[in-house]
Amino acid sequence: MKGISSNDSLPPSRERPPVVVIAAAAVAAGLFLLPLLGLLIRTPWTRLGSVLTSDTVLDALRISLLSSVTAAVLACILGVPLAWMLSRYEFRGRQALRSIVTLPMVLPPVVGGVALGSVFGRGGFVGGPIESGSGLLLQFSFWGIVLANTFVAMPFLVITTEAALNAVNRRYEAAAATLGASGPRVFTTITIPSIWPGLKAGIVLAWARAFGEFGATLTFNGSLQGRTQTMPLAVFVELSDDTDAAIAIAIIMVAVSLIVLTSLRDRWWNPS
Amino acid sequence: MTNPSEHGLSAQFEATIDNFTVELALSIRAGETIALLGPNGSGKSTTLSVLAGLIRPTAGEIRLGDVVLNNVTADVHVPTAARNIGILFQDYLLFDHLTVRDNIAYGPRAKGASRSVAREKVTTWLEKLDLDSLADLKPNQLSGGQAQRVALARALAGDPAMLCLDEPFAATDVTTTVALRRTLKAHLEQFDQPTLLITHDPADAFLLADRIVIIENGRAVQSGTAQELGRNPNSRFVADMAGSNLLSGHYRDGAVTVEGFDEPIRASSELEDGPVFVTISPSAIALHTEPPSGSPRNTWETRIEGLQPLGRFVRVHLGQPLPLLADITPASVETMGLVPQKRVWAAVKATEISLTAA
Amino acid sequence: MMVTVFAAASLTDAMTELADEFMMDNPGYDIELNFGGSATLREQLLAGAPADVFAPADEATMEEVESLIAGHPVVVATNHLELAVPAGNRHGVTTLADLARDDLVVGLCARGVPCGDLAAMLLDHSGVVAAPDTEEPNVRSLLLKIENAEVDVGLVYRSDVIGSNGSVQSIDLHEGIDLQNRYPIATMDDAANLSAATAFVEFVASDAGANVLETYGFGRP
Repeated sequence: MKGISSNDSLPPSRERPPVVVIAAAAVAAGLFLLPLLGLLIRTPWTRLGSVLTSDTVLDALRISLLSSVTAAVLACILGVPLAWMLSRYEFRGRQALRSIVTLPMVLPPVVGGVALGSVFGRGGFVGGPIESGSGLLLQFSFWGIVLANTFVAMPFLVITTEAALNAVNRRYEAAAATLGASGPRVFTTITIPSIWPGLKAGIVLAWARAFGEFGATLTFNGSLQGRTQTMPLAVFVELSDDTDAAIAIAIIMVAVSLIVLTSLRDRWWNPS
Repeated sequence: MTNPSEHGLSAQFEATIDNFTVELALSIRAGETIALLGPNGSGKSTTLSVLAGLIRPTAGEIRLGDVVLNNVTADVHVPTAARNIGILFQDYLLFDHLTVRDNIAYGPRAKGASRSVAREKVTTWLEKLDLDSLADLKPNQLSGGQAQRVALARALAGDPAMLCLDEPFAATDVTTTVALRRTLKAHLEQFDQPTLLITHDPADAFLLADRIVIIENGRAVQSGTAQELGRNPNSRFVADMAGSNLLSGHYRDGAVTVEGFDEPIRASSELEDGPVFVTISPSAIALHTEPPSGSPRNTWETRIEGLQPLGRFVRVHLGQPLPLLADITPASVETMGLVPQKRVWAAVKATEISLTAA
Repeated sequence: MMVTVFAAASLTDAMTELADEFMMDNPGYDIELNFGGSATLREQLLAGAPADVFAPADEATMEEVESLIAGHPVVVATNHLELAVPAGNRHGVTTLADLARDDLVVGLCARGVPCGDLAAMLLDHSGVVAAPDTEEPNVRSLLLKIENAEVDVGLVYRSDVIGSNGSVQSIDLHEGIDLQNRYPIATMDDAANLSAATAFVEFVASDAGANVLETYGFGRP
């Protein structure tokens, strides 16, 4: 009864799971592990060092990491208020808005890129006037990557955060209010800690999606080493020329992702 | 005499939620504790929500001290955070991710106190409620009784202008309740602001409140002290609610001494010596026109003060030295010729007297 | 009889018409077309994808799958690069040197892609240092951006300009006409039906085939 997130749950079972469950889980695990194994087998280990230190890869890694982290942050800043609106307020068109938010998840990324281009591209009804007016170009730029990444990644954050907000026991927020806490204070001191696991999962998902983004940024931003060529693009371009190098770059991407994702399980991420 | 509206709570409101309407007038003086007593679904939680500002009333006005918290005609509604009403919730609602210390500090900090001022208040309240050893624990490491004390400290640390206790003993077991009631009573005596105790248990109301308001179906059906209600219930419901004979006394060596009564009342109990509540069911008191002889019983001479026909039985109001209620069949009343002012002997077996530690 | 053809993306329109004509003249044949970047197709073939005919955008790619083809490849078309601009040529592009302009959004194909390698050679040959804003991994995506006026000038194949239905216009390049891609075609060793595959290849290599290719902007070998 007490507690925001009831952790009065049972400890993990020491019993053996049913065979069917083990079998299905093994297949699922295999689906994740085997392709990774295949990549590892084809990796040109002797070349890995030179590939990692090449300009192409260093540039691509820098651009990928910067743009994906920026996109995750933007997704947070814009997505949490949106999740809040969807969770806490009744308004006309709420259901429609919710569906539109999931659209980037359903659309093929390339289609997303075309859609972004029609608005923010040089011929788009926002991008065009901005370029004529100030000479600023979003397309073919680093910030174009951030835009494309945010577009595809934000739905993940909005959905997990809205679900987490819906699961909050609002009585705790009421209790905080009776103690004199203003709306913003309740949000930061009570609501956010209470939705933190869901929010964290959303941020991680958003980052991962942005890091791996390919179709939308290719369509919207093209690819230029040092400016708009992300790791996935580097892999793709290299694939036409030097397949071994492409695999090497891919393995580096996998390694970076694993490092980021496992470090996110560290203590310092958890408030308690 | 202080004008109630200058000091304390003065509320008269109407509120509707889910087709259920509560219409209530409450007036609580500073330092006074009023119990809102009623069964589940009678409108107690709605009342609490209205006072807390979580629900807007549809009519009426609520004032606390000089401040108008609600005035429907003038469209005044002070938001929850500004009402300064401390609430002890049924389920405590302690913040899981904060330590006991930080929970208690929450109110003062939210109201703008600096860290050092808040720390001082926390220290004070930890001491007052004997929570020092628990200060750095998290709520999920506390027992029920400990959690309730923390919740009380948290509600009071913010210096509220009024305190609401929502079914304070609903979540605790009998033993803990006893100790907690004592603690709570001590603190309420020190608290110099109005207090509203919401409960369905008459024992709570009896021990902790100065006056009782009985609520049923969204309306107050009667109010007064426990004695007043017992004497003059204006409905079957109130009679049942307030109809138990409740005394307080001191238990020692198999007998209870009650104030105003010379003879110790014999009662069988496994309790240790100490202060107790004495409960005697009205149907356990037998009346005789002559001093009864025979089996060892508690007997005393008394005078009938009033008779109250309640259908299947007649509730006889006994006067000094032990003002109790006795339920007698109409037939017996007639046979014995019981009328007001008549002297009678009351008897009750030791086994029919139940004691609980107070 | 089914014949699976792996063909370069730049051959899409031409190869589709060639297949249609062949099937009309030869009922009983079913030509399955699989288009993609030459390098992607090469990878698929090397990994063992089943194909009967391979038609990449340059001879270098064909050489890389030498061990998989039957007989010798035949060059059936040539293609050369042209400067392409969105219809209207708003920015007044006239020569290769315009690819070095900072005020324009310049697009090229990435190196490793046949169109990109050719572009690199062309630029090298003429001494122009381009300032690209994007190096697209395949020529179709570059063309799309020029069509949408998102890229102001690019180097694409002549066949692409012809196939763009007026939304892209080309600027004649007087230099570098000799630099061109040559399109070979060959049957695969493990073709399911070698004679059917050969029949189709022969059609593409014939005069009739060359005529079709010409209408799509390809040069005769």
